[in-house]
Amino acid sequence: MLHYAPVDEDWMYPNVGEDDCAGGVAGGSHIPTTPHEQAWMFYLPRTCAHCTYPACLAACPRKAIYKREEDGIVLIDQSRCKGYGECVRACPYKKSMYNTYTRTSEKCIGCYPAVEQGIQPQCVVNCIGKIRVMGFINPPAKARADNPIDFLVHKKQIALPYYPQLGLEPNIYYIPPIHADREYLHQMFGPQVDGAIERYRDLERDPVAAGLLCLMGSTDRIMHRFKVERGKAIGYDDKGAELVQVPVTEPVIERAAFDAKLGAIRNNTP
Amino acid sequence: MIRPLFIPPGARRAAAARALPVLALCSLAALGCSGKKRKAAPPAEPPPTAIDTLVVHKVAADVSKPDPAAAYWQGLAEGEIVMTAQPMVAPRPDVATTEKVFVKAVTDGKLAAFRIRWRDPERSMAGRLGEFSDALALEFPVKTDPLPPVMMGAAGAPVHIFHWRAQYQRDHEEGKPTIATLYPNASIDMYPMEFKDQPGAHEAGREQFSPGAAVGNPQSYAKGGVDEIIAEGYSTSSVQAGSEGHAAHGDWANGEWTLVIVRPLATEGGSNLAPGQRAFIAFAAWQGGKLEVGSRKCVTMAWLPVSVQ
Repeated sequence: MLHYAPVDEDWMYPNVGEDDCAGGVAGGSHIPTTPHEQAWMFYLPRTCAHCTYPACLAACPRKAIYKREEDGIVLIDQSRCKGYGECVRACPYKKSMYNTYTRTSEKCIGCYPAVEQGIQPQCVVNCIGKIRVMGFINPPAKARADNPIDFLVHKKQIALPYYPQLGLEPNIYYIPPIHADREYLHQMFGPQVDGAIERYRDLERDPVAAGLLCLMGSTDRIMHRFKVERGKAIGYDDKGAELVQVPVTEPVIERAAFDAKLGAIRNNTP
Repeated sequence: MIRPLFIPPGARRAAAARALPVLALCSLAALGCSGKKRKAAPPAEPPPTAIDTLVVHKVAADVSKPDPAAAYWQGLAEGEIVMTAQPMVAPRPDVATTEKVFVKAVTDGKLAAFRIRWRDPERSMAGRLGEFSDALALEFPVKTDPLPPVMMGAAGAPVHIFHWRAQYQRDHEEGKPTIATLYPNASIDMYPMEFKDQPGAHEAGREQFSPGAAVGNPQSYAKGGVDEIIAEGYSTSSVQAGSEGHAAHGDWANGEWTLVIVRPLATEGGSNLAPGQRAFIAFAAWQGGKLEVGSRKCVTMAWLPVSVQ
């Protein structure tokens, strides 16, 4: 993908084949147990990773791409871009895209107007699985255990950047899927993936980590600190004000399958 | 501030319409005279020669209409200019796709017209993804003493560029292509653009999704043929407002472009040409079909002196 210039067909069907079987399946076979040795798949949301060393920025002969000092968001200056497509070619993750109508290249803006207001990007806020969190990471030597991103990346080491071997230091960290093929995961997330999966499996014995996972998707504000105490996880903004408080373990309430009062059957739909 | 030369948009079409009956008369005359279909041989053109100065010949004709076939070009010496693959700034092209351009220049005392001819095996006008436009640029120093660096000038030593693109010419002649023109079968489920399954779409709705146009990027508007650019070093080129009306017209035939770019002799804040005055020119060419764009281009490596008659 490095220096590959995508063609129309690449953009027309960006996910074609991704939900299809990549190999043959013997007739009558089934998936007996997990881990899924026979079949595996996972989804990976791939927005712009606002790399620490962005290839798009380096490739732009017009110097129309910049990385913001205040939040690290990488932007294409829409008033200076001339649509040469060098960034489209250079980004190995293929995150900038030439718009044939505006004749400029465009990319994810990291929802910077929201981030400037202390609000997390739309892809985080709207994630129905509540599996995303956005925050500010510190260098390893300055990592703080109460910073949600430092905690996941540096302290617990369960979240990894994808294709780190490209050297751009992408700033999206993924908790790798545990059931997918290891060889594939090694290629995608590097040699640390085994340890990350091991530590993730052990997470249920860590109430602080469990608390942080509960905080994900529980506030649209950017969490700068968090703490877990007495069964509650609490998120704080940059000024130390409390943003949200959630129970680490949701109370279990058992109810009859049929609600006689409403005359309705209850579905166990989260 | 550069004073642009403005050609009314309808002028070129009107002139083209006038030209038709004249052509018809000519062919009738040819039939009537000899009774035999025989083309009159064009006057022999002197072969292009290497030059150390580009002479801008004074002609007694209005040169405001960019016409590669105008009579005043006939018989003028054509200068042969050697080009090389842009060697200074990455990304660089691997090979010199445009090895030479052939140039003639005329003036009517107010305007200067440059006729540039170069080999380009395919006509490319960009549009869809991964397509780039054939293009040519004339570069002039804003000040000639000392001369700015020939490659895009330097801070405090600007250069003045007239950048023609086949894509811009198509905008001027046929209108800026829409997504529906570029991708007739495009279909999408949410943006209110002009796609075939969005009958209620309107222009204002589409413009909402054009951030380039919203911040006034000249790139995102329909073009007139030539961008007038001022640059003070690599990466600094900026299109001057109001340069859309500049006149240029290129014809592509048999693997060759013949292009005329017209510019005023005198500009405010830009480069100036005048009889007896020190002046220089440099060239750059892009072959869209070879994916050339931006710094992937062929250039002349030194300023060529210009002598205005």
